[in-house]
Amino acid sequence: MRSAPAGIVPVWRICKLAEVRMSSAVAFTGLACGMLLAAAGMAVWSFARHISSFSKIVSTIRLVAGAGLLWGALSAWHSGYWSPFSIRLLLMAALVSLPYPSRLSPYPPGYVFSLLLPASLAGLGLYLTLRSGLVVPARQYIPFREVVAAVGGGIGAWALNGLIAHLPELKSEESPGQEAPLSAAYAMLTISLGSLSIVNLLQHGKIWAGGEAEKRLAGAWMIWTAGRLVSSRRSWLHWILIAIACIVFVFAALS
Amino acid sequence: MPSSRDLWRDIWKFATGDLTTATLLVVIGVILLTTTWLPQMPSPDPTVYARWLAEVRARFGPLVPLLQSVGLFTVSSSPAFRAILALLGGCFLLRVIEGMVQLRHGFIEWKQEHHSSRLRDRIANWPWSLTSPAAATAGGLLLILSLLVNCLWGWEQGGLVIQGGERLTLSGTAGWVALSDTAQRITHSEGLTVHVDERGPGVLVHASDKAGGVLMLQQAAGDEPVSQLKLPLVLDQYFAIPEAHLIVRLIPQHEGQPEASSPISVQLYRVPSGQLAAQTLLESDGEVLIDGITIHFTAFPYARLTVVHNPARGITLCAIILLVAGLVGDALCTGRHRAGVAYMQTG
Repeated sequence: MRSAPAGIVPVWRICKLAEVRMSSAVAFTGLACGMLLAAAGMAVWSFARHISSFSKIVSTIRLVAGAGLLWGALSAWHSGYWSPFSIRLLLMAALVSLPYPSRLSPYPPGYVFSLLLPASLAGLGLYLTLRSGLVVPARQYIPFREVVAAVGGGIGAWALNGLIAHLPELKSEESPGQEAPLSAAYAMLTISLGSLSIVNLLQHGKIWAGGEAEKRLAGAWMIWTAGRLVSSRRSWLHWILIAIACIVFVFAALS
Repeated sequence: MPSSRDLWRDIWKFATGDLTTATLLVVIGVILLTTTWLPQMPSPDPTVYARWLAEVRARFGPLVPLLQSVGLFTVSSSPAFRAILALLGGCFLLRVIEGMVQLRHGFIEWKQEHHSSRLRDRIANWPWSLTSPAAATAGGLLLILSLLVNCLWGWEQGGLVIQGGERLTLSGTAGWVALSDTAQRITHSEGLTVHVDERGPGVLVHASDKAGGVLMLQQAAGDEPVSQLKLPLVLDQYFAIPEAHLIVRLIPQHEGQPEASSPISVQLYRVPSGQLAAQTLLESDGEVLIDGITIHFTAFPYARLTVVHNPARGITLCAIILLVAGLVGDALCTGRHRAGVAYMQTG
């Protein structure tokens, strides 16, 4: 029997590698979804039984699940069996599952929702992929603005998650516990959009490459900036503007 | 009775107030979001305009004339939108002046209090809470100024198709763009930014008979016959070989985005019967033989370009860096301050 010439990988082995990578993306995503659902269950149990010791465990599970979703997104992009939309969902779910830092106890229904949201996003990405099959060649170049849109959507969803999880705290005039994570989120978004503008300026000669997603990101960022400017006197307007901006970021990432 | 000095002070306070700037930002943000739903009227190029009109009619149907009369399809180029941008620029200018005055006072205080401290302490006690907002506002002002400069003196030409080995002079300007034979390398005159929107296959065609004599080619009925044709295959292309009673059809074969090396389907039809005489697939240079005639194809890929001349590119880059640094610095200062307050409140 003839053997293949040295240096040439048999076709069956390439297909096997792609299948393995697709399987690892599916495995990591499925595992992360399961962990988030388990964390949601633990959160409900801890609120019902007033057990505070579970909160650190739940936060750790969130972090591990987020890392799993990020790895799943990278494997999915590498394998070529996932659509860009599904990869974007995984990336957003990874960012949303990061723990929201706060010194005060979260609002129970909001906190449980904040665990179910990333599980839903990842589950939707998984479902769309398993239903539709091969959509994009492996390791295809993904434009930087798509990555920025996904990151913006993830940060927006994470911030919105945190606001929902701490809703009663927002109703009081003073809610300084929320400012630090929101300021960090705003800083990350500003850096992302600033980088996108610079890339557009270098590649296209203008800060606008003309896409609708970029207009949505810019519009959302302006609304968030306006919200930060009115924080000192009108806290209700501050939270509303930031919530609207977060929703627009999520919409820009999903459209 | 309020004095004129109080009136000017009130106007200054209003113009430099956070609420005024926030309102203008929200209005501009909402307009940007609206224009994603209402596609704005593009350049006067007939092909682009026709495509836009078809898309708008398909989406909005009978509402198109009403929306057009209200001006919702020209919001981003309307005088009102430009006036709002100008107002924002004016607010930024006044805030920059105010910020400079505050920073100057802060600098004098800092110098008096820390003139003999260690460098590390001096850096730590620098009035960062005044510097970051001032930098952000200055960045915003520079950004609006750069948009104005670009609007007045910049230009853009899109949809330019150029084939390998060609040099294209840009109409109405002294600029030029050239593409290498393999369509991989682009050179251009100074001050331009060239972006390749698409690369695809193209050919250089010439035909000869049995004796090696040149056969003339004709791309359209009224065209002058030529000895060779250079065709970018953005879409299907046709040409005729009148002496051989043949029409040749070239079809680029690609799924999704075309590439410079995409194969080309060549179909030869007899004239006047229209019968398909021959068909082949070209993946690079090649020849087609029929009835003693040889048609030579040499690959000359094309590139579709957008060329931009932005005289304010350097200012825009500085503006973005200043804006991002100022806003991130302000966000970190605010976050750290609020986190400290939260820590003290909750213990």
